[in-house]
Amino acid sequence: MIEQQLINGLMLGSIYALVGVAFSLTIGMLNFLNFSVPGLFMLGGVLSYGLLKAGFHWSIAFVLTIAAITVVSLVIERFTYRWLRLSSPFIPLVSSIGFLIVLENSAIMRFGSESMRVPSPFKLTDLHLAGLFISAPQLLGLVIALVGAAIMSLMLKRTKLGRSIRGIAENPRTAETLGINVNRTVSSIYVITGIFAAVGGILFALNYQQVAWYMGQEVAAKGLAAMVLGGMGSLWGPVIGGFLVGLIEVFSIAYVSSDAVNAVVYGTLLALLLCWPNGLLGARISTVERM
Amino acid sequence: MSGYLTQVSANLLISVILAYAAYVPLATGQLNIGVAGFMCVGAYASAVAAAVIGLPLFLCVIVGMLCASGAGLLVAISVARMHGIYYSLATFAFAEVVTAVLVNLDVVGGARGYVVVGYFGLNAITLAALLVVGGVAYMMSTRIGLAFTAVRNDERAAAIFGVKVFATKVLALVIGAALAGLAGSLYAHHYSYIEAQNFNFMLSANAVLFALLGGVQTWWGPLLGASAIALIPEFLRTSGEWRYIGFGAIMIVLMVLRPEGVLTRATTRRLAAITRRFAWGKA
Repeated sequence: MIEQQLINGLMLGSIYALVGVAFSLTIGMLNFLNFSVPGLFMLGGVLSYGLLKAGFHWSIAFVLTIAAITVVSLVIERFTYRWLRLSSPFIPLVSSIGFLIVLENSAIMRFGSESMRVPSPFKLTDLHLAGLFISAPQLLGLVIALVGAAIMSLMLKRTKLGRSIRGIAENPRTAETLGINVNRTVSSIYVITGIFAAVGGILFALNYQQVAWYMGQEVAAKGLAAMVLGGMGSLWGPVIGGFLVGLIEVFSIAYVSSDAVNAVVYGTLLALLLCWPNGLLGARISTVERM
Repeated sequence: MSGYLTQVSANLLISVILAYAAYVPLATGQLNIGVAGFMCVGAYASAVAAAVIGLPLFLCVIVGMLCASGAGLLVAISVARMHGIYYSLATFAFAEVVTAVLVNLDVVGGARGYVVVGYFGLNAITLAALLVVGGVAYMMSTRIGLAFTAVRNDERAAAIFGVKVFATKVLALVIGAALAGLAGSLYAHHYSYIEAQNFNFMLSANAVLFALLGGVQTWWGPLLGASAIALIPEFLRTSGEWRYIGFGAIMIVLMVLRPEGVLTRATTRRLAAITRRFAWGKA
């Protein structure tokens, strides 16, 4: 069933795409590899699980989750950017690993170290099209990944915030001289990153109906692969890369073996980094090279 | 010595060696976040040399270090021209490839893990750690160390003064890889059992944290960082599950307060001045 595999790959890829975009935003705009993204992804999944379990309606649960992620993102911004602006480029990375440790262990403390089963919050009918099976949350994921990237791309091109973000990506000092409020703009980059990661986590919880404190690690590594594949720092690159990684994963499970997945995915990533470091859509190399 | 104390000490000493494995590339400004990959190569090579070829234990360690530095050389030659995030991501991808391949190799047990023959006690590990600390301290006091610092501070200026920047960076990564291989080999022969999945990203991240938290400006920063990070969770053990949260929080706050690491050159100078004043006061 090659068509079914194709669909499964695209659906899985949409989660990688969301996480890849989250990584790519902070790298493209701030030259910063944000290792708290897997923590935010996990928090999205685990928090929405906790709120659903506590009896909230799913819409309220997801809104509260996003609100919580926004607050956490703002705290992370203080400790990895605002108060560290003059330090060497490694330092924010170390702090973000610190946040990853804090977030994952907080999840262990609250929910234990076993993986938990997420109750399906709403009854959506799954689609059966010409013998193919498409589950509703999967389709939702695909739509959200594409729409999210489209909104983001429009926002970057058309709005005042988008212009400020591009200005900071070009040169933060010049941007500040020209009257851009750097602190507020950077905060919004962090919040957008957090929301992309959290939505990925929520969709993961809905799709696989399972959450655990370690759920971010594997997905984040694949998200990084997706970002490099598509082109670091770009917006549509990680989306395309995410779908490619999803397809590679699903097809190597189907036709090679389930153990070979990581070897294939990371082998591809390493080979690409060595031979074609700009990725497929990597036109923004100049901003990354500054680091 | 009680079993608990032995375990804590062995863990601490291997952490110290890993800290220097991350420190040497960092001393030239290269952030290697694939230390666990090199450690994994060293562990498996050493274990295979002991089990299959039946080499004496001492030679197994050498084999482990050689294999790890061979891998380091391959990686270094291909990635040393990369900068910043690209470099770090390439080392990350390398480590993931190593563990992903080893998990699939049934010759070395695959996902079930590999039982290691030959045992290293605490004495051997202590000796190795002392040699590593002493060796790195000596190396940083020679021209090589000077070249490392020059490359870290400004590659272009270092090149103008005749430092071979590319060769220096390759050398640093290879030495770091050899040290990671040593740590892996000691780990394998101390715990007598290895699993490729255990050489994961968090291990690499820890190695980098040891070095960065202690400070990369002096050769004894990583020693301090590794000791602190390996011991703080032990001291916080009474606080139960809070200890890792506290540990992460300490790390975040320290990076804001002392972004160059706990030990900087300025700090050591100030400490030296205080000690001198104190010594004169007594005389």
